[in-house]
Amino acid sequence: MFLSTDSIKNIGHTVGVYSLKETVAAELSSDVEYRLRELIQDALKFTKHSRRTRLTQEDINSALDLHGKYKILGHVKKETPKFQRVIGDQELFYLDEKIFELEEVINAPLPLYPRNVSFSGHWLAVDGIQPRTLSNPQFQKVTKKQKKQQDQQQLKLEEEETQQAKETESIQENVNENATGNGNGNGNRNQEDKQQEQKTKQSNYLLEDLPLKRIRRRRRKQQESCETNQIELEEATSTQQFDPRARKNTLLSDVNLGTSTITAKITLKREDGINNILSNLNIPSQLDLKLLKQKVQIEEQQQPNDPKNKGNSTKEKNPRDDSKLKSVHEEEQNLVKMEKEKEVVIRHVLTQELQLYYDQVIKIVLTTSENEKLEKDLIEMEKGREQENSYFSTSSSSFPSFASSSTTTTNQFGNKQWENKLKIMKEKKEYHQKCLQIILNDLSQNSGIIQLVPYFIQFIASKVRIYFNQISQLITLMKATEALVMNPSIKLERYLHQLIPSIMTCALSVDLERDVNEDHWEMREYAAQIIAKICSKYRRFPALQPNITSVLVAALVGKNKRPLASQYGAIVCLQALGKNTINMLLLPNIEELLSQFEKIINQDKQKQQKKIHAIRCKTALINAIGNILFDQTFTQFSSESKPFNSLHLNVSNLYDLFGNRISPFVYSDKYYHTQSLL
Amino acid sequence: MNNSINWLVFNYLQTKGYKRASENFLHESDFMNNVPKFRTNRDVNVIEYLHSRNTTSKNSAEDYQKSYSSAHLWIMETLEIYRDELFELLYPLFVHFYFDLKVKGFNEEANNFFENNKSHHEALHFEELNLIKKKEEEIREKFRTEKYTVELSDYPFTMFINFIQQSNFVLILKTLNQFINVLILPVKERKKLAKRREKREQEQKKQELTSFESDNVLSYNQQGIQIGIETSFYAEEAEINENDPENEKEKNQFSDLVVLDVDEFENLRYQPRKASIAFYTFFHCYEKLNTIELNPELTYIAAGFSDSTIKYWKTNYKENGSGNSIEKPVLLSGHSGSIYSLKINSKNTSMLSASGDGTVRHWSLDLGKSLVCYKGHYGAVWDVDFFTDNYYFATAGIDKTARLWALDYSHAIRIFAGHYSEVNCVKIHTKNQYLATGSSDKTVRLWDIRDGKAVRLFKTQDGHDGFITALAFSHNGNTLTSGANDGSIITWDIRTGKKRKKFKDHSGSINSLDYIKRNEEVFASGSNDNTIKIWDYQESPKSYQTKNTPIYRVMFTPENILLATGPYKKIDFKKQK
Repeated sequence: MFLSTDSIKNIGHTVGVYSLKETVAAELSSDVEYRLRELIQDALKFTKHSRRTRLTQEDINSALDLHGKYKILGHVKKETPKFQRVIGDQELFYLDEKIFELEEVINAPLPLYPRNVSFSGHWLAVDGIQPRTLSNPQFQKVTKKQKKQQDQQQLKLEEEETQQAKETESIQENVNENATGNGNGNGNRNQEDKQQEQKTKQSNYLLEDLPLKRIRRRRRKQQESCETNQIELEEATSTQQFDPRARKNTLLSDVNLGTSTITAKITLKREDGINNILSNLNIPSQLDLKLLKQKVQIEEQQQPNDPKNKGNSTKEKNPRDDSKLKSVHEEEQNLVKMEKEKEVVIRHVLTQELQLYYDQVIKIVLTTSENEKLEKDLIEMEKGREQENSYFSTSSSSFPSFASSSTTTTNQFGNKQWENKLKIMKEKKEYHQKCLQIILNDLSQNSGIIQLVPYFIQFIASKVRIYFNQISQLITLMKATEALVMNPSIKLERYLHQLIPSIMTCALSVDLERDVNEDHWEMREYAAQIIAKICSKYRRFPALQPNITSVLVAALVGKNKRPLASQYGAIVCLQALGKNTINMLLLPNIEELLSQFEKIINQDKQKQQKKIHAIRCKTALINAIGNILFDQTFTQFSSESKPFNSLHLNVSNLYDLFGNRISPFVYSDKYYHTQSLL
Repeated sequence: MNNSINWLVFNYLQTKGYKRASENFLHESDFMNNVPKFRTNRDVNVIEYLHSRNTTSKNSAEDYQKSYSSAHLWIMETLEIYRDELFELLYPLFVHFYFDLKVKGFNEEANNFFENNKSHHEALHFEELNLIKKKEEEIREKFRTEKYTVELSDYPFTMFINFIQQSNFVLILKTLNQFINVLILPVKERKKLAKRREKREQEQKKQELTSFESDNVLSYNQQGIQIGIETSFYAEEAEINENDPENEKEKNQFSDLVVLDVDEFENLRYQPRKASIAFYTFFHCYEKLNTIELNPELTYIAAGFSDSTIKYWKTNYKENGSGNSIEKPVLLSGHSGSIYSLKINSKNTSMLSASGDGTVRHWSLDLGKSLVCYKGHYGAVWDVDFFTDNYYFATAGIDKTARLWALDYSHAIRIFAGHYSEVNCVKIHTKNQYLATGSSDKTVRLWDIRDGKAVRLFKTQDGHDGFITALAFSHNGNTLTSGANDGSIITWDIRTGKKRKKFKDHSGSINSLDYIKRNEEVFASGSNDNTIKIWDYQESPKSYQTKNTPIYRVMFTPENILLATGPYKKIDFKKQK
């Protein structure tokens, strides 16, 4: 029974019923129990639908309302009410309620305004992995005991590793002997093997000589760095680009895939067995040796018959082969090999969609060079054909009957063919332009490609080196970098050290001017703009801009002064970086530079090309100076305060140097007056 | 009269060997003096005697029917929580009454009794009832010799006994004493027992390998159902001739399409282990927030509160990739009870809200104002669901009914009544012809919208142990999934009305369920135990835990990214210590 007959009697006392029979009380208590149960049952419905786990007063009230009873009115307290035992009576309890005075309640200060309801989004899981962020549940921390155990295991592993590494070395040598025995077709393979061998030797050396403690310490550091990296990367995936709708847009129009999954997966794997490490390093264990030998033999047999393989081995610079993701993976694997003593291997697995995306982008970015090549080939072919024709025409005099007929036919046929080819070329170019535009747009907006950023950076860095001479290709590469820089959801802090050198080479390099026809000036200006954008975007790194400008100034003046073309690049870069840099770095050196340029221009002995370069440089310098000059003069007229108190040259001095060429940049009195009159 | 009873009791005590008791009894009652004729020779069986007494007191066939139906009525009107426990007690009573009638020679009445009241027990004891008709004697022997055990909680049993005593149903009392073994257990032990039983059943299933399922189907679930071909329910010619050649063509086309789809997506099958989940956490509102509604395009997020207000946020997604901005929330006020359910229509133009004040309101999302108020439910409305045409909608309420409405009628068009308890949730079938309701009576029903009749009743013996709280249809409309208060999830085959599989891994009540697109066998569930689980028929479930946020809603976008929401619950460190 819920309520004893005594409590029923007690309740009766409060209402004024003093004589209750035992039977009546029992009857009443059972009835009260039923009513209470009913009430609680209905109140629980409301808690259930409010998705709470706690029954509140409001629920009881709404249950009462449901039965058409009056609600219990009163002051709702936040704390749960306490029942207290009556002193001297063991079975009697009462509610500890305070009596408030109405004035107190009315005059009491208002309670704090409740916090606004807000919500935020995060990735609870990305491709099945919960990112380690604050918004997700924390993982278990490793206790000291567990750490000790792990360390012991590591020690054991290390010992095993050193032993087995020796064995594998000997095996490796055997394999190499087999491989070297057979012809040139295997040249690449051999080189790779040798490299591997060297690396393994190095690592073994390290392992044997260093005391184990130090190795352990180093390993731990590496592990930690890896883990922090991983956490950072995961945070990057989880916080920066939380936008489920963005995922929709990331899918390329070409690749219509029904399922989701765009971001890549990062798994941290601790290799516990030596075999795993070996398999990662492409070194066979003893068991696999026989299989590998067979494989090698088969490959050797196949290679001469297989033209594709040959092509691969001979043409190293084939852009499409390089572009494949495999090469990137190989590079990564090489990196992994370098750090053999690491136990931790980061495996960066990309999803299918991302790989497709990467392939597409690289294919389209690199087709500019292909197109160019084709164009050149066509032009050369045409030239060659004309020469041939001329040859035939000269020789036709001696063999008129035979040759004339043949030449005319070939000529006509060739012309048509050539025109057709030209047409196809044009169409191709247009199509490619369109594709490029789409890709660049996507690169500058897409937030789902964060995982690909390291690959893209590496790609750009390597390709700038390869396509040194093809300006148009370089321009497309710069366009791609610009798109990456402009993408708001990509943060390039970690890649700037890789990215900036390649842009700087584009801006400053000497060898760009090999082909006279191509406009490398434009490319330099473009690179300058990108550098300016990077500097403005990553303004919070105080050392970034000074570093860049110091390189630029070093290229411009001083002992290690560089040729005119790269000087031009430096000037353009400094100009793009803003008025302050011009004022601080360009103005002090302006006399020296100007005298240098004018010397070259005025010398008669100089080559025409060099003169042109000098003139270019001079105009760039004037443009740069003009920029701040206008500002300065304008503010002088409009207000008394000077913008550049430390302006290194007076306007009159500049007039002396440049003459009338800077007059368009000076804010003139006349202009001012006309403005004020208007 | 008195003396004879005294004498019987004395006899009984002596035969049983209670010497002291019999002496005391003799001493206190001193009936020895009053009884001149003391028969010692005759050995009398007390129970037999009582039997004969009862039979002599004109137990006609009507009495059986009366006592049974009044017991049934009483059970239907008691507290809902104990209703199904008591119902289990009613079943052996029903069977024994039937046998009693047969034994006493009321053959016709017995048959009538059986046929009239069979429907009460069909859902749980369908096969046994069939057997009773076929092999009557075997089963009678079983029932009469072995006591039928029923587990009951403390309170409902005392209630039942009180009821019998008050209305003086001797027949029920007699059968209860004689043939039924009532185990009275507190709630906790019942749960323990249930767990043990589940384990045992699982082991048995493992041993048997193939679980036996008969071909017999409930009379309810024998009714035909059209799922495959899409038909609008308001069209008059809804029935389609299957022999029609054109239809076959359509069917063939349809099947071809399906095959293509499968081929295309076989390689890219959705993997629960690689799910991507976008989670929206609400802050500062646990215990105030009742429901959250999202739309799969993620342009609106709406929240219903217990202070009878609704807030919705509009999120602007910028195409240039500069992220999405969230505007200030729009406050909708108009209800006078806490909000229990929200539903945004598929065009993202309007929203429905169900409230504790018994009304449903239709809000315009563009204007941010209430358009219509629909009154009809008695008591709180728990759930709303829009049809895909955005014109009809269905509601479920505390008044044990579900109702069908149209936007431009102020009254309900259909009322679906039949559940024994409040209707917790309502879900519209993907083809718009049927709607499913889940109730606190632990059953799920499927209703035909055209005539308002129940078409299916989903209930089995090892079904849900709690109230149904969430429902979901698979995308092709062949399976229905129900989640319950106790954390169990069951998938039902709609065509046969049978259980497909039971999943039990959650420890809190299931708040929301949703199927992925294009796959019948993968679905997600969000629970009060702070976990999202993604279930696959072929694999073990993959669970994703939140920090301390119960999941209120899960939803797959067309790209199969899972959206989930819930309010963050502050961790109470005091309690943990």
